[in-house]
Amino acid sequence: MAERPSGRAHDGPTAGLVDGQVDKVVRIVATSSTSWEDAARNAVREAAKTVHDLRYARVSEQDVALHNGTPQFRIKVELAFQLDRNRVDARGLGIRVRRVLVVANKTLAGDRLLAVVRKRLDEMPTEFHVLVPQPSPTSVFVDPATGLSDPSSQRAHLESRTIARAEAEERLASFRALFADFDTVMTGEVALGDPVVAAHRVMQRSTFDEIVVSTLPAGVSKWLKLDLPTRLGRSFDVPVTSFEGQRS
Amino acid sequence: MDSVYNVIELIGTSSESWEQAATNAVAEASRTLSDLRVAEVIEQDMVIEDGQVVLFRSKVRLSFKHDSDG
Repeated sequence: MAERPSGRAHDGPTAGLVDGQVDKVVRIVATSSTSWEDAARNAVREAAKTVHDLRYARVSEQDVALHNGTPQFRIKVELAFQLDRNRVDARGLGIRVRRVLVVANKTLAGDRLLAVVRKRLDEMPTEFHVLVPQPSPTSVFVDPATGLSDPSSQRAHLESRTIARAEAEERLASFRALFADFDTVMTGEVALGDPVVAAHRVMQRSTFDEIVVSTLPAGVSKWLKLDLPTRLGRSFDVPVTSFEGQRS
Repeated sequence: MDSVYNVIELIGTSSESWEQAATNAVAEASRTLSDLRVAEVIEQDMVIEDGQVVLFRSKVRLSFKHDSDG
């Protein structure tokens, strides 16, 4: 997207709000052990995963949390972006570019998902955001006597989280590579933990016209056991398409 | 003794940090103003390009004694 909105942050936080233009503002809290600048960069990087048209970020709060005596720099930033700038036509009468949220993890490399993407693109211009919810390993051992978790088990827990995230990031990277053939915008992110929570966070940050859920086959799929497609459909006012994808 | 103060606001920018941005604003002010005492950071924001922070900006409020005798 070479084209950028003119009157951006140089005009001051509120000056970018041109008459008749809708800006959406999201608030993100980020933390860093080094500096508030670093925390702010994390916040922007996080937001840029779903929103590719960020305009300015304003700091609304800063504080320092002490984590076992070590300072953690926390920052709350408000990020603004032009809602629907690409999606809706100039007069706001119809959708010019559809935005689809793809929820997939183990089946990211399957042909069926690619076929679904291709079909959407054949119908009309479509942008995709790929959310990769990855189960978060929860294996911290807590001593029942003291209620404290043992440091080695904490370390193991952190390591297994890192590994789980890396696995999912790798799947996302391969999918991104497959996606390069399609001439459209694709953003993506990995979220450790509950898929419904992750979807809520994404839906809050952006606007989508459809959610596509690619699951493992029934019987194997935890998402189908959770009834994820129905739950997403109930939570958000957009159509949800669910299908059984293939493991790579 | 009664006093009157001038209050001005300046926005400093830096690609490094808000500290540097604020320092730049104060440095600019002190080129023309003497006896600056306290600078208060009243707003901080960032300029973003392609999903990256490209500039830190600090808005600084400076006050100095109004010198009516010229």
